[in-house]
Amino acid sequence: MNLNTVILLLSQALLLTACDGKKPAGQETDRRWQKNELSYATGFTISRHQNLTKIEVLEPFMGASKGLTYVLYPKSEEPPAIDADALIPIPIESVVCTSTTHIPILDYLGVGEALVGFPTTDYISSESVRQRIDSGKVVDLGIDANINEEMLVNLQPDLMVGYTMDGDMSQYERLERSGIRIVLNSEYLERHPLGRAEWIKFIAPFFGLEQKADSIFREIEHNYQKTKELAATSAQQPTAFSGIMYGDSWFLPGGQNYASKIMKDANINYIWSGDSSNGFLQLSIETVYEKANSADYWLGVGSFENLENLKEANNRYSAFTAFQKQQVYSFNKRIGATGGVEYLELGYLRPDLIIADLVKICHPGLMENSETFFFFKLPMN
Amino acid sequence: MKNIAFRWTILVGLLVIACLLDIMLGSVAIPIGQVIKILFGQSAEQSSWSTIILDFRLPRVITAIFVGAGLSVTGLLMQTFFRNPLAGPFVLGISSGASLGVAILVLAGSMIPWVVGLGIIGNVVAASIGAGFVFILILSIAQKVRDSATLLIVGLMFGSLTGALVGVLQYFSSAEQIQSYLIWTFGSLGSVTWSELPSLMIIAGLGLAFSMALFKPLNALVMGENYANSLGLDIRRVRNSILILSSIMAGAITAYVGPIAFIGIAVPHLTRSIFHTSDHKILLPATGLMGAIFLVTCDILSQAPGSDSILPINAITSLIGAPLVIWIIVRKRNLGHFFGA
Repeated sequence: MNLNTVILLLSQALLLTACDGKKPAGQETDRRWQKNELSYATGFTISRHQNLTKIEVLEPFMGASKGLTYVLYPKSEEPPAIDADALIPIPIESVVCTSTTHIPILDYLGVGEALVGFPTTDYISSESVRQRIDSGKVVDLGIDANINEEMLVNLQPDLMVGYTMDGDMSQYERLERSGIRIVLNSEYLERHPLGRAEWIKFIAPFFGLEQKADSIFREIEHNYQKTKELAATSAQQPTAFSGIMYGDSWFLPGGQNYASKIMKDANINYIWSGDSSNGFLQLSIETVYEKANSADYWLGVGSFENLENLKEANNRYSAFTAFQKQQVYSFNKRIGATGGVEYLELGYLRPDLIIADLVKICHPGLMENSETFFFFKLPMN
Repeated sequence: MKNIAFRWTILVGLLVIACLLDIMLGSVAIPIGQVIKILFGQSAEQSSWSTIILDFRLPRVITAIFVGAGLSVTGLLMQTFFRNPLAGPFVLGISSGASLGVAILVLAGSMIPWVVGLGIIGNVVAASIGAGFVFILILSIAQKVRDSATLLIVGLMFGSLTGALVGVLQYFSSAEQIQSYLIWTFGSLGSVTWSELPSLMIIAGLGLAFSMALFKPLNALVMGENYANSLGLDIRRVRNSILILSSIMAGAITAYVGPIAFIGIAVPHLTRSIFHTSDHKILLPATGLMGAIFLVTCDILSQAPGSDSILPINAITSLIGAPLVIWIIVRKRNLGHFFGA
């Protein structure tokens, strides 16, 4: 590629962004959308005009070139003439979710009974939802990404909350053609722990429960900030590392990852906090050992249940000081009745519980109640 | 003969150099002087360096030597046994059989509680049985189908079939069981520790020694079964010993380090092209030596010295092994002459 081509491509790219900045044409200009301010979430916006709600998902998946617009209107009225990716009559009464992270949101909003279908219901740990699953009120729609489309169409939910990691929309498009209304949730892209939790405000409008969502979120935020301030009062800043090896590669959160943010807010010196990536790092055990062999805490070791198991899986783990001093923690304290990990379900809505756990572990004595919620210390055997 | 002695010297020299490089190079840069100090039992500037050299790198290099030699010799045994230049534990589905054995143990083991406590030895037995099972199936088909290309396709099918069975097993397993099985399938030379090394060395060492003792019947097999029969060789016994040896070696090694691709097929060819012989008295030890050099070199590359990351060992062996096999096939045009065809 020569220089001229590069300049041409660049200028086109600039032109495109310039065009994007223009106001949308047509009827849209007549409506004055009132934006609801969000405190932490950067992945979506909510705005209102009379009895209409507009939700824009700005980045439906990593690297998406355009966002998605959903307009919610009262189901007693005719659908408005608005150009959107989906027009959804509300309040909805039945919903199909695809990620366990959507489940606690329904629970907290008090609309758990709206859930009618889910892929691999075994992953769900929430007790109230499990009861509904056991009594056959939630249809198991197949395994993970392989959703049984026939069963889904037969179920006719008012709404399906989906997600895509790689931007493959073919299944959702096929389902939309058969009349299923789908919205995509991309909370997993949020950088701030509270940003992820704030996605409760994304789900709430479909049920007309915005105010309830606001007050739930405000409390979570308040708890989180309070614990953060408390942690900052500790004179000591213990060091910590995380992750385990798959094959020869050690997987651990990058410096800007969700998990490292919480550790930072808990006044913990995560050894890779200076790293600039927000995904996961894959390092050799040599590198990890060189930097972390004398770290105080090892937080997050997959599904290992005790130090004996950990050592059996790879004897090299026992070379770390944190292992020898038995300061190794797993977040699998709460496992649902069918094996789901509750940290991966409720944890994203409740970063305040995670930060409290970390403070209880790494700053002992700072918090009155020392009982942890998600984390447990790995016993010897 | 003098020429051959010269080649032996070079090979041994290469192995020593490769091992030294593998110990010296890694993600963490440790000065050579310190490495030597540590190897001679003295304390280093930083205590973490001793752990890295003695507990991380050294057992890995020794593992690479035995795994490389073992898998390569197994490949040679199978190529002669099937009189098929493209045979090897990986392509004939023997490694997949070993994987199936481990998968059944890891994923369904919870149904039979006492096997869970067996640890690595349980894996070794399960993998060897799985490997032997596929070997016998392939063998029974080989007796009906004489065409070597067809046999490969059958091996491929067994590979897919066992893969599918593992998939079905995963469906019924818990997340933790799947996690521990998946970790194993990545293939890793670094997971063998000092306490596991002796058993790996004994199994691979005995396998190699017994293989060496088979050089005469193997030479006879190269000339064809009729010829071997005319020499008064008990074909059945030879067949059985090769079957048992290959299954145990491929199975046990796979149990320790996970499935490692291509080395079993590539190294015997490489050795033949260097030594220009089909005499197993030379081929067997030379293949073992070459296999050790090959895998230790792959291990150096997978450490990507100077970077913080690790490349999967399987990616490296395939990246070098596959083009090597293509190159040899193209260069020789016809590999059949090694097998008297």
